[in-house]
Amino acid sequence: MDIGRLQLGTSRLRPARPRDHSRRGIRIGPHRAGSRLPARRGSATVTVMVQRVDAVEKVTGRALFADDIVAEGMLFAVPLHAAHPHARIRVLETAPAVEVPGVVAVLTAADLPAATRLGTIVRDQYILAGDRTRYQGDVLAVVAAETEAAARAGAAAIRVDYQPLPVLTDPQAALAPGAPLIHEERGTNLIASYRVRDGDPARAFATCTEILEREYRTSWIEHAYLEPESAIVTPEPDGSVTVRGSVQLPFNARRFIAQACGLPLSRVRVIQATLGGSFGGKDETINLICARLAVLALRTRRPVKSTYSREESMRESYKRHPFLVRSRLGVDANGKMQALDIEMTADGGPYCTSSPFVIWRPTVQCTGPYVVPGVRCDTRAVYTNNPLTGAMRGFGSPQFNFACESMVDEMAHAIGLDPVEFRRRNFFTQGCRTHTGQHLDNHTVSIRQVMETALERTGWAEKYARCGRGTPGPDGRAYGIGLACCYRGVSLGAEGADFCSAIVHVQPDASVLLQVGVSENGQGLKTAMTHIAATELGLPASQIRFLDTDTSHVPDGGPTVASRGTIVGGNAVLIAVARLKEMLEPLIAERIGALPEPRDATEATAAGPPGTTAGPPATAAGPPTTGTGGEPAGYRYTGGRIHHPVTGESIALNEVVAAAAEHRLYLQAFGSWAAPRVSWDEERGRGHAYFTYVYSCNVAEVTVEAATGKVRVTRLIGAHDPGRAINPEMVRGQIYGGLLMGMGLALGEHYPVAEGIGQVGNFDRYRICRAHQAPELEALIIENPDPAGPWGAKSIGEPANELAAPAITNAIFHATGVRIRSLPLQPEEILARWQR
Amino acid sequence: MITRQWQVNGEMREATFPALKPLLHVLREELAATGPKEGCGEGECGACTVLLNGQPVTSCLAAAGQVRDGSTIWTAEGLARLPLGERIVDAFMRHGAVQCGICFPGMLATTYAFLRDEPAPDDRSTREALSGNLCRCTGYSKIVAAILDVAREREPAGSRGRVGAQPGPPAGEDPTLETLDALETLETPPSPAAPRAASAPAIDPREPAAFYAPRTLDEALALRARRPGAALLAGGSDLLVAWQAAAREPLLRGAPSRTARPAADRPAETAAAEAPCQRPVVISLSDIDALRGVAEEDGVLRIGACTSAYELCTNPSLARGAPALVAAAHALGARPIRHLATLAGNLVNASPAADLAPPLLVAGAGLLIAKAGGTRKIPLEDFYRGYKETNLGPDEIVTVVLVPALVAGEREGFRKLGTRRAQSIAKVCAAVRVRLDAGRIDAVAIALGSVAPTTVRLPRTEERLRSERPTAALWERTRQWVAEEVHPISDVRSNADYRRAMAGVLVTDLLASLVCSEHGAQ
Ligand SMILES: Cc1cc2nc3c(=O)[nH]c(=O)nc-3n(C[C@@H](O)[C@@H](O)[C@H](O)COP(=O)(O)OP(=O)(O)OC[C@H]3O[C@@H](n4cnc5c(N)ncnc54)[C@H](O)[C@@H]3O)c2cc1C
Ligand code: FES
Ligand code: FES
Repeated sequence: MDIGRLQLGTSRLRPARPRDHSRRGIRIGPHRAGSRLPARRGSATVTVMVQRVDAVEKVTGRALFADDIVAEGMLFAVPLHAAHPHARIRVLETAPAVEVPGVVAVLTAADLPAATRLGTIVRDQYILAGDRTRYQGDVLAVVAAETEAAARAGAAAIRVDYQPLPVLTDPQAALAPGAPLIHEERGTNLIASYRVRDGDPARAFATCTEILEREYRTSWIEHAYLEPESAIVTPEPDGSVTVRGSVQLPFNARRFIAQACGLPLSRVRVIQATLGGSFGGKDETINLICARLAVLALRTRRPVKSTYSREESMRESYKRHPFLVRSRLGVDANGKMQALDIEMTADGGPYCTSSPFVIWRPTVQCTGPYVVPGVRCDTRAVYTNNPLTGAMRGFGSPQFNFACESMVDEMAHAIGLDPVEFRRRNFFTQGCRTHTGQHLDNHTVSIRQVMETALERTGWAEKYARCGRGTPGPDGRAYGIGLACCYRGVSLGAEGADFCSAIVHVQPDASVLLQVGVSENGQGLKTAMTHIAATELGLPASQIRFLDTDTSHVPDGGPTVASRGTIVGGNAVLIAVARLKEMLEPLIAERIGALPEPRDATEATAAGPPGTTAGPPATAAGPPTTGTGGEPAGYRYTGGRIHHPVTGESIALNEVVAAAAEHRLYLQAFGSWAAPRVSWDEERGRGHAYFTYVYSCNVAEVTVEAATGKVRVTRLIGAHDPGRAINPEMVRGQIYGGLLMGMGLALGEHYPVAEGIGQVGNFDRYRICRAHQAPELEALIIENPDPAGPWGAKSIGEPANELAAPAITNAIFHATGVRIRSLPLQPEEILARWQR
Repeated sequence: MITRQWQVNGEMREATFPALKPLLHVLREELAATGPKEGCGEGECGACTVLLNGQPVTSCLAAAGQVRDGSTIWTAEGLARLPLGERIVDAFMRHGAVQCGICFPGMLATTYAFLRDEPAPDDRSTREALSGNLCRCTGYSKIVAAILDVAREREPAGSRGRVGAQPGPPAGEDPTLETLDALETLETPPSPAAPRAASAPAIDPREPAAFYAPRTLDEALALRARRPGAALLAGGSDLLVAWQAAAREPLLRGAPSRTARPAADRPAETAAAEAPCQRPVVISLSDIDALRGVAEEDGVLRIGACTSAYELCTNPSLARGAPALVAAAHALGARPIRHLATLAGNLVNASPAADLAPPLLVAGAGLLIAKAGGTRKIPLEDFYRGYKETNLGPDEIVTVVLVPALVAGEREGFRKLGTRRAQSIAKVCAAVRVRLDAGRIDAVAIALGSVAPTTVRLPRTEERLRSERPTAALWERTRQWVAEEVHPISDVRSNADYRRAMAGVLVTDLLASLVCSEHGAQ
């Protein structure tokens, strides 16, 4: 199998501009976006292949995932889920459960000591449903018992009498006047809405020679992390609680738990267990689970554990939002996009979760990577009684990209232009202005480069020419190739406060403890952070120990979501290391001589790699190992030694550490990084939405069988510009996994819902791709180091996951002439429409 | 509660547990072997895979009580210390194959057995081998590359096969199997809320049951007579799925709302062993060696009822005499399931999607069914009564499946549509046995799964085909005839028309390929 083996070091470089800060200035505060450009020359790839620091334990079964942790005398707890997605609870009788031998406690809404509702953005989710159920996953009671069997028997013994209420299953209907309200106090079923107005769309449409109007739909997608939710809460003698669990966001979990228990944050300690996958799915549901367990633990004064079955997990946990996208696109006679009118409606289920984030992102990216002068965009998320929806790898982009890139292909077809040429004519260019008024001038706008690389690699021209276009080949299959492109704002953007901190703590033997405010979710963050710290300190990775996120020991780094882990965590580590080096500098100078005075402060910093104390780590874009021109003036850390840049004299790090001890210098440094400033004007829908963007292109090849309508994806290519691939193998791993998960949005994965109830509960019917079904996958990494990223790195986790579906449906169109506008696609639909 | 002694990762260990408790839970909870993980509890994800007596099995579906004293069990923790295991782990590291890692202990067990048994792994056979192990993070590419790397640098054969090596699956591909395919759509049973094994009593495997594991058929029959209605447990790949799903999430059983159940309904762990009337009674067939194996007598293959799907795939007499059955067994689940699943279990479970039934139907197979008083013989076709219903008596046990072996001039084949060769209950599956005489179809038998409440033969189409010359025009008509003759359950999601049409395509393609390969012409 031909898997990615190409790494392209093809950055387009522009001259470094003078910087506005001093040589040693470590910028901690926000700085203006747009003030700097990629500064490194000769982007020789920093491709030290680093093995994952946590992999051996995982493969050999020694790593402790949450369910592997046990505590002396612990109870096991199980939830009782709502049998009706919308009902009044007339009777909730727990007495029979308490009588079941082994049952120790039953928790219901009436027993909650403090908060009754929790939430990340809006506190609208009931910890336990008391008088009403709002979706299939509402928990009415939690039963804690000596054994799991007893707990389940207890839950089964609880008597509930429901008075069913009308089930709101359609977001449109939920917004109609007079529709029953899911949360009366909000006065509406609208969760959130955003808008963008740019130019004069009405006039722009009038100048168009072709206008298309289309509707696209996507359905629920389950995260399908292989580890169902699990947590164990231990009450401590001092009245605090310690929580170990499969938690993606330990700080959010801590807040939820503290609110539910009525404890100060300082009395809740959340330690992240090895996480068996999350993809955004362990952001919130697990926090509520932890909150319930914590209340039970405090009440019973015993450790309480809960591990969800797959069925329970699928019932309660949130899914990816189904989107309905209505889009109207106009182009002029030159094939230039002129006007876009787009409306998106997301089914939010009964609680807010991160719905606002999920619709905000597509709002500010609603043109795709294309320049469109006239734009009207309205998005909204709506309460329903359908399964809960929330964050999932991509935050709304996979759904929106499907609509956007289908429309772009449809338009190209309508005006008789090649889909590639149509994209080329409309792509973002360096310095262009987006529909939110942001000028893309602080990073390399590489969308064209990324697409061309992907096309060249696939042999697009020749393959596109032999697409079936409705006619199967002699083997009864029609061949098709398709592509899709997108851009993606990095990190939270104007969605949230973007900051992170790290602590580097050198031990007396010069080994290092590293703590970072973002967490390992399976994506390899531990490895990336270890790699950065090790390289900067000139130590082998084995000398660095990354401590699992523990809310009592490391400052909150904001959520590890939106593919922000590497960029914010890496920058924080760079700053902490720089601080540490500042502490060491006088000691080193005493021993091997002081540093020479800088020749020209601005020149030196603009080009200085961060591997020295000279570079401002917060913004350094360069790799640590190369350095031509503007030779750095700081000490160099390599091979466990510290070298003088001029005399070449060196000293072992050990010795300096020992000297520090003599000076009673405690070698612990704290680094905190805040993202460049972003802005958002809610009213006008205008602003610098994100401080930088990632550009991506996916290409899919398919064959469709004429007799059955069955689609076989034979090859998927993911081409991405992640700034710099700090660890290319890990980036490839993210791309392969992302491509396959992205494919699931188009075919295979389906979470059917009837009257608010999910019809599948486990992997027998929720089908994720298996090894033998996977197409050939290829990863192309295009590097344009970004000034905002550590060593120029941006992100890859989500970009990798958000484009495969439209690439596949576009390929199906070129194979069969059948345009898929509703996902997941069904062979029977293709067959029926193809035959017609 | 029963007590067993096993060799776990090379050490003798003892554990006491309720007999039906899945091996996975005994390993994790009683023996502190937390390497294997539970991702689904129903055989689909492979995270729980361990080597049981040298063979990979999904330990979530193996009733621990069925695991005999003295058995050997290897989990990731132990395998990683063996030379081959070490090399696999090392290759996973080198390739950066691991992400969240939760699937890897199971991957390691599957990979170990695969590399041990497969002489010449390639991309395709490796993927096939991994098809029972889900990974959500990695896209599999690096895992496959790592495994092929180990294969390439393999040590001399002598040092292989440390953990109970057994003959591997047959080399090469059965020509009747389709190529690997894209994902298929959802298959929904007639009612989503219906339990998956309607005929099975609801048993909570976590709780004690009266568990019997007789060594001889006579003992089993005597027990069966004393305890009519006791559950017969063979490989458990249907029963444990159904029992556990019901125990894990009662809402999925479709109960409209929960009502109080008397506590007496659910005996406590401490309930005396002498209160059997309150406890589910389970008779395990897995210790009866006489129920396994294949013999051939006068052109009839006698297959022991408890022969596993894996044994079916690897048996040379079957490869000759019942190739369609072998192909179907090979397409049943992934290898860890094939080691558990038995032939009689597949037939008695009576799912309309059962893969092993159509090949037997076209062969005109019969069953030997025993009870304390004697044995009866019945054609398989007459065994099925309706959706998941058979005419098996409460005191009976299926002992042997009789299959007339293929004779000279006959050909047969099996195909599954949407062929997920692994881990898939067929959406539509078909078997055909055909004989040509002087360029005409002399005899033909066609059977289909998933197009009616039971697996079915297509007598009308068979009749219409007889004496016809195989031509393109005939195939055109055959497609029509088949579509007309099948009656898919109508409330399935994949609409009935599509299923009908697909049945036509599948049968015709299979028939044409069998006839063509014989005559080299259309
Ligand atoms: C992940 C997974 C994938 C699968 N894929 C497929 C597939 O692709 N195709 C397919 O056809 N099936 C598939 N199956 C189902 C298949 O494993 C079963 O049908 C299997 O063959 C049943 O055999 P068993 O020994 O495990 O049965 P058990 O679960 O032990 O028993 C099944 C039923 O048969 C009865 N029974 C068993 N033996 C006897 C006997 N000797 N006499 C009387 N009654 C008996 C039992 O009482 C029970 O009612 C799959 C299952 C799983 C879990
Ligand atoms: S837990 Fe998924 S196969 Fe056993
Ligand atoms: S590595 Fe996460 S499921 Fe395989």
